[in-house]
Amino acid sequence: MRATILALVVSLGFFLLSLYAIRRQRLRERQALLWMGVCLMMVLLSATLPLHVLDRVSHFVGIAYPPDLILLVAVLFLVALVFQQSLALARLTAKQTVLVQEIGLLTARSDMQPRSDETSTPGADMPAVDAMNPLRDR
Amino acid sequence: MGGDSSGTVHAAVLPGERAEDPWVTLRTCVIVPALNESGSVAAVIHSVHTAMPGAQVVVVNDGSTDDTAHQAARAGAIVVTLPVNLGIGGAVQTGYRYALRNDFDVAMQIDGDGQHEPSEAARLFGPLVAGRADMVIGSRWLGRGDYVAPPSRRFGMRILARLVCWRAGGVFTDTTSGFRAVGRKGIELFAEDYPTDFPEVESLVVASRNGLRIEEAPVRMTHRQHGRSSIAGLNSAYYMVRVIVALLVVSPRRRNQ
Repeated sequence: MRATILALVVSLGFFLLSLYAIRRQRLRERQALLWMGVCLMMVLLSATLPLHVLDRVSHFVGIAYPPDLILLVAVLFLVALVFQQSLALARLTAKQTVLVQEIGLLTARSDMQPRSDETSTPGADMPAVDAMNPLRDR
Repeated sequence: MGGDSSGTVHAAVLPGERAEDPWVTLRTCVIVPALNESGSVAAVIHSVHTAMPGAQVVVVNDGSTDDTAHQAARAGAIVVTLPVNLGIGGAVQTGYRYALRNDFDVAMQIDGDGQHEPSEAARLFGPLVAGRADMVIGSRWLGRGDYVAPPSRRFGMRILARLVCWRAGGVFTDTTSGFRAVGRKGIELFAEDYPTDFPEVESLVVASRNGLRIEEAPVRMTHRQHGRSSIAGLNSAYYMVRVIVALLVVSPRRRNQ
């Protein structure tokens, strides 16, 4: 019984934490839903501890030691989560690269604004470039 | 696309010949990626101006902490300073974006460390101007110059060459050469899609899978004046593993045309 209470307290605490994060808009919609789902699972699991649901399920699946089922599910979930984060990171990096490049190009262009003929004719450009003092001052 | 437009302009120029002035007829942008190259970047820019009067030099300053930007601007280059370091791939792509926005016909890549000799640039123009190729790679292994590399390095380069030949189709001897030129078609492709991890090697595969005709031209290269190769020492084995994985696994997904 004590274990049940402990599990319930922990999962409720986690639930409150994610609720707080969502209310403060620290989490985005999709992640918010995911974490709410995780909390719900944890609460359910804790609340049904006395009913031996876990034992029955693991017996049904063919796992002799019930806690192993939890570990297995947890590990699979975390692997999937990390993979998803990797994808998100790659996506963000690609977007960031484009932004950095654009910032570089825009900055270079705005530095050249005083002489608006910038790059129209590369041949005629070279004397103009020498006069482009704003670029030198960095 | 770039091939035929350039072909009509200068069809008379034969490959290997010193073209009269293709960089004047064709609007040429020389992309110089530079990270802390203040010791050599000015010399590189000056020799580009000497070798290719009329070409515009764009130095992409990839978050240097020294005064690379200042030196480059004083030497007469357009300087695009990236606010944070993107790595060689992201830096070079910035140059291609610049070339695309400003309607250049040819974009040439020259390293900022002085390893590539702008006086050899004419050799890269030959196949472009003749309309035979959309992308020309300057190779140090085709008999020009006396570039030497330690055996281990040569061995690695040979493996890479084999792999790229297989993945991209065609014959390549110098896949890690950053001395290259592309026409309009290449500018359009690379402005959109330029690999970030191992750009020199991977871009060959990207280019060929997108239908660019690639050719190598013999060039002379010197050993770098300043700085060290990004592929050196203990890292080189790791580099080989990563680049091989990249070539085997990553490239096919770019087959989107």
